[in-house]
Amino acid sequence: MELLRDPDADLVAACRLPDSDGFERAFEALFLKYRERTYAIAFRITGTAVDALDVVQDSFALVFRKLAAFRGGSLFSTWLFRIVVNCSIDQRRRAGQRSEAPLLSTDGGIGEPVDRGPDPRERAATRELGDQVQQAISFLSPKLRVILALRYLEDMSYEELAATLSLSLGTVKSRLARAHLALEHVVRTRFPQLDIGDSSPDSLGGVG
Amino acid sequence: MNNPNEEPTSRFACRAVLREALTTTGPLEATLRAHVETCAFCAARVRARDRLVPLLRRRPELPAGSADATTRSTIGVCERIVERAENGPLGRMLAGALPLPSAVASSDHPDAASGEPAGWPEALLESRIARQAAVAPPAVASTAWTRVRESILDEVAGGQRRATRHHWWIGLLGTAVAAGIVLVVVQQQRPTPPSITFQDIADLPVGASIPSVDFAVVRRGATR
Repeated sequence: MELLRDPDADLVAACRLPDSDGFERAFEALFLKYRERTYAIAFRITGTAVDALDVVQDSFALVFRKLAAFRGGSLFSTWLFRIVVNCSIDQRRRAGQRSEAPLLSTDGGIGEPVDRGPDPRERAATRELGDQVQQAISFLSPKLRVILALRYLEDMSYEELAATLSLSLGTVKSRLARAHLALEHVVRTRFPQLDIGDSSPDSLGGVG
Repeated sequence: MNNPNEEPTSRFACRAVLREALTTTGPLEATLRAHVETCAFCAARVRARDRLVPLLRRRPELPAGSADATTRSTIGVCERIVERAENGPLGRMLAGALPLPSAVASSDHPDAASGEPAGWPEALLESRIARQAAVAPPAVASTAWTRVRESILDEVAGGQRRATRHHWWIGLLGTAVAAGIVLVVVQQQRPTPPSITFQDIADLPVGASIPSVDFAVVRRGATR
């Protein structure tokens, strides 16, 4: 069986030598390739664009400082996302110590909705629903929020989640299930206007 | 009646009273009550229990704060408990104790019918409501990306400079240590010049021995 080669292997190899000629070009390529995705992940965890950009900066700096320690046991992207997740949780924790964390919002008109329906009204409604669900997610603990963000917004499979979060497959599933229960609990108690199906509130019970 | 602060004399009866007092909240049975009336030690403890029971029964008030904060902290507490115990028996028990949505719990659901203890049914692993979340991050201006890029390069270069300085110091220190070791070894191995002693054997006093020498040349004939 042929092992899957990391598509970033050559760029990573070039980045291991910051004094070499190819470093700048390899760095540029990796940065351009992953900056949007790392920013999106960081934004969904930290909740603000400014914090997310800080996380991107910290994560990439950390990646290039620690590149010598990266042995290629996983894909470079998996390793990078793991660092982004950890930096985001740290950032969120620091922000939480400063003040009550704000809810996720893209107010300010610079964000683009992910879901573009053909009808502007339908699009607006979808956007509003999405914002409310995202607000409900921001009530969850950072780790539950992370797993939901990676699963539904980054579309990661269970295996990718396990690799990115350094968890076993079983733990990924149990954490995901807990996140769903917790989210439904928050939606029922805080956002009753959202229609989340027929299951009775009693059946959801606790949130943990 | 004995002193409530002194060790009771009838330990067997006292143990029976305390066992009952610790496991029940109602009145004690008649034989135990009779002992309590004669034993100040037990009477003091039963009175303390009667004072504490209503206090312990009262649900403590939650710390002041918004309902949002309470929900968030409750979720956080539950999550931390489950997470810390996730791989142990307590975690498995907690996971098993989590209520399932009625759709899954109903007997006609395949997961319920199988009766397998295996963890998480598919229905719990997908969430229609979570799939609705669709917040796109605000777009980042190209100038902001440039700033971030420059900052990363600065940090990487700074780290490299620091590492280079670090390596330079390590190199210098290593060289000094190596030089010191070489010096010590050389000094230890430097041959001491042999001392040459001329001794006329014929003049040795009677009974004297030749001094201990590593190497001797015995020569006959007159001194030249």
